[in-house]
Order: sequence, then structure tokens, then C-alpha cells
Amino acid sequence: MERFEQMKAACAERFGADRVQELAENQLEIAVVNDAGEAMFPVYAGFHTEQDVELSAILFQVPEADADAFMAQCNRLNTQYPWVKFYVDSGYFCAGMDLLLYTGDLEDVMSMLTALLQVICVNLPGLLG
Amino acid sequence: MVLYLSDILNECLFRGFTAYETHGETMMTLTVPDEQFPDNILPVLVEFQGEMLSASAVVVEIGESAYLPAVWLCNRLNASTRWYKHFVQELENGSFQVCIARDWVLKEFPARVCFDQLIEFCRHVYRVETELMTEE
Repeated sequence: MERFEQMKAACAERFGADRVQELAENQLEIAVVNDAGEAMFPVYAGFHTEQDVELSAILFQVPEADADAFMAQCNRLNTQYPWVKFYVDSGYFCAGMDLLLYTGDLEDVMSMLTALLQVICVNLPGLLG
Repeated sequence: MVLYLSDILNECLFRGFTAYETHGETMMTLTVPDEQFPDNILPVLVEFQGEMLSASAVVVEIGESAYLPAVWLCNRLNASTRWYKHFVQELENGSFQVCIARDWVLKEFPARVCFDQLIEFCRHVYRVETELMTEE
């Protein structure tokens, strides 16, 4: 899929080729690292079609004893930000967005990926305590 | 090409769809009735904001005791459903609203697709209402 290939190349250029991996057909994983180069969390970009893109990030594991508190945090964040959806899935705190993009401009996908990463990075320290 | 409210209004006219009201040049409310219970109408607010479109709806108002179960239901829906975001919003009077939202990019967005997805949003609101009532 042309747009997937374009995004793969753009992500390799932006994040570094060693941090971008094609997991399956039209699905890639980006390893997000901090300033010290330490792994923080993976982001996945999946192209269901040329227009339909799913971005998701698995941020951290939620301790079972704190599930209610993290659910409430998810809810708070969901009321705060458009586009980005926070949720706990199989014990992991996640964030993502679904995009339907009819423009042929890859920059539209990349800017939404940037927005997702910004929202995550702003809130992650507070979530991890 | 960016889709505008006027484009959607033209699409409504083309389809013979009249279940809406407009508010200025950038907002409309859809008043599509529940297919199973036509007297039940949950309005959907649609806002055109530059190159972005957002739709939102209040499914039901709940008390504090229902807050956490509703948050858990919203989480289950968020984890299992694409496109829609479900959340519980606190009101000034201390009660809560279960809400649904969705956003779109308006660049090159076909009016017919937009219309179809707004109608589907309306249907999803009723599906969630049914789930909430089932869980009570």
C-alpha cells in the first residue's frame, strides 16, 4: 500500500530506521525513546485501507489493585482531549486514534501521529507518578 | 477542498433528510429517532471547526453511584470499538453524563461519506444507550 510505504519511510527518517519495524502487512511499530535513548513505549500504525489508519500506543501495565483509579484517569483524559482515546486493555494503559484521511498528503498522517505523541508525553509523567 | 456545513446541508436536501436544526454557519443538531423506539430521540451535536469536524452526544445522565460502573463500560467500549470515544462527564450540579464523541478531518472528505457516518454515529448512540440500560 503506497501510503503505508510512504509512512514507513517518513517514520524511519524522523525517528531513526533502527526504531521503526514493519510488523505485518501495512502495520509498523515505532519504538519511542526518551532523551537518554531509553525505550519508553511502542506506537503502532496500521493501515486498514489507504484512507483508514489506526494509531495506538501501549504505555504501561496497570496494577490490578489500582484499576479503578486508572480507569478514572482514562476517563478524565478522554474528556480533555479530542481525537485521542485513552483506555485500559488487557491490563495495559493505552492511547490511540482512528483516522479517516481522504487527502493524499502524508503530512496529515504524520501531524496526527505527532499530536498523539505530544498528548501522551505531556500526560505520561503524571500517570506514572 | 474542505467540507463545510453547507455541503452537508446540500447532502441532506439531496437525501430528503430533514431531522436536523442548524445553529449559525458551523453547527447543527441531528435529531434522528431510535429505529426501535421512534419516540426516543437523542440529539447529536455536530460542529465544523476549520479543517476538523466533531460530533458529540449525551447518552444519559447518571448519579454518583453509577459513575464507576459507567466508566468501566466506557472503557470496555473504547477498547473494543473503533472511531467512537466514550466517556463520563461531571456536571456542575454533581451528577454525570455518559457521552460519545467522534472527530473527522474535513480535507477532501466526501459529503456523502460524512453524511453516512454522522447517521451511523446517531445509531451508535442508541446502541450504547441500550447497553447502559441492560447493565443497570
